[in-house]
Amino acid sequence: MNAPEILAALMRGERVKGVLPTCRLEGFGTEAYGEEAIVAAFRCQPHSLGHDATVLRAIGHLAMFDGDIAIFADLHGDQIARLWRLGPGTAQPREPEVGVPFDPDLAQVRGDLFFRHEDHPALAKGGQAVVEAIGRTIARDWKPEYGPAAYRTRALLLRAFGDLNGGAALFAVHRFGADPQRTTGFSHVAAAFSGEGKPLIVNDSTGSAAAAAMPWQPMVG
Amino acid sequence: MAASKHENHSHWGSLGMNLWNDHPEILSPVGRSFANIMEEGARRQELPGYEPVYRDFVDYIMRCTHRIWEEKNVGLCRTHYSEDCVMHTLAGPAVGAEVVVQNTIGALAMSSDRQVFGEDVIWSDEGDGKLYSSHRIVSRSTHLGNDMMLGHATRREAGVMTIADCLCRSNRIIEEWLVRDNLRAVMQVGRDPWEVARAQAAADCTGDQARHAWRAEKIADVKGGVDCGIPEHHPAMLPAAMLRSALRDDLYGEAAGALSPAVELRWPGNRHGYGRGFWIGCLTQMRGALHAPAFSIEHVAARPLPQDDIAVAIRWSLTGVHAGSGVWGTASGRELLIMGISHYRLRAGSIVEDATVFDELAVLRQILGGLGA
Repeated sequence: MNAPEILAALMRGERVKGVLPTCRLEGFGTEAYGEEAIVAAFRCQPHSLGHDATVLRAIGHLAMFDGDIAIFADLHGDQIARLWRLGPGTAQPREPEVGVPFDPDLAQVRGDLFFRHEDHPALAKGGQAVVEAIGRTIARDWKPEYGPAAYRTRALLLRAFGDLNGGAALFAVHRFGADPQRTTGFSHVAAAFSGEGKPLIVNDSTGSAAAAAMPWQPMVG
Repeated sequence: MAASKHENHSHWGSLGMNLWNDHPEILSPVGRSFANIMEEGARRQELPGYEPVYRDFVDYIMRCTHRIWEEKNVGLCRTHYSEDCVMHTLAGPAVGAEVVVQNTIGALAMSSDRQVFGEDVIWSDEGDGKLYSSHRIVSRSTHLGNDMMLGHATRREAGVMTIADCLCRSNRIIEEWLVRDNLRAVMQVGRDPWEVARAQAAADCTGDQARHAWRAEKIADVKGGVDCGIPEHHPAMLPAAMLRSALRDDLYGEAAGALSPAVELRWPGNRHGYGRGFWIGCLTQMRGALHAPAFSIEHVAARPLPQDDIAVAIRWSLTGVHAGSGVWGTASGRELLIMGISHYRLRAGSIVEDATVFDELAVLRQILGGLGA
């Protein structure tokens, strides 16, 4: 089986060879570690990819987009090393965490998008401007239905590959809502782009809701 | 990886010791399947005194961990640890292979189904036949048995990051530094970390207090501020300078310049985030609680990773007075010691990942008067 076949089977909740033992899945509002836990996570909410799903691949990367669901993978050859599943679903119980107060900008200048070209060797020069434009749009024109962010939205580019003619990108988005008591938000957003037309954007609504439901606790306790 | 790209002109090579990027055929476990990692075969590295089953030093670390923890052949500790091996943890040192055997059996009695996923082994040649490994593990297990730290069995799954630094010679670990994210394990099984730390501290306050003398000695060492040597052009120069700049000079913004703007961070207590600001947040959260700090770098290692990335391991210690209220509650005024290990992934001259582990539960234990604090 090649990587797209492995990933498609995994999304259906099937146990397949080709998932590395140290693989992490971020999705369904939580994180699963190891093949067994990842299969269990997909089994709870299986999805069969449609025939018209968009499948994009480069060395070390695989992304699939199917309606409001997207999946991103790091690959070693055809083996899956890491996964992000984005889209609607039922959030699984989230592990407690110590909150970290931080400043994303480190300047008065609004950051919008944080990335470094050299981090993404599979993103050709022509694709960089496209990905940069998508990231800035995500930060500047955040849709309220994605979650609270009227006050501050900052996108960080985690993965990207492709060129001017097409490719995919995965962003982490830290957010603050505009209420006097700020709501804190976090979600992943995936984008697929081609040479023509608007990019396909998928927000991880499940992860976003799960993050919003977490109490803000910047201390051990 | 091309040797010229990261050429190392240190004295290491002239002493006959391996440079950080020598032996590219000795692969990191990164990107390899379990079957590939466990494949038996011919030696790939000269390993005098090591069992023939071990193909290279990375294989030794990965395979002996598997044999001991997953195959449950705990008695192998007697042939894989020296009789006088010192295992350093923030809960205090333990000495000897028999202690390792007993502690391992105890851990397996509580978490019998423990799997130890080796994420990386970053190693170095220390000369005189000694090899040093920094082994990052995510262990997953079900809390099936009662345990001193995790309490009555909850049947909840726990999975935390551990980094074990081992100094080895002739098939034996002769000294080990072990850091585990015990705080996260306690949080995962639903226990109150302060309650656990309070019980540990109360136990520490009974009996002969001389057993905690190691901590004061270690704090004095850290205050001495002597860092280990780092060979010129070694990849650890970048993260070491970053840590010094932040934790000695409080120049956080300058230090963070070593990080990619979208760096990914995993710190204890399930702190997981992205960006230079998040890294600064992790440090200032800790530093805000610790006044008059002292910091030392105790060991560094680096190895090539797939696709021209570089893995760097840094073992460090930090001490200071808990005079600031914040992440660890109300200031206690006690002097605290933190022993940490950080693993970094470098790409094109920047840090793109930081996995840092220290035992934050043992920090709470000190705040509450344990470990002789």
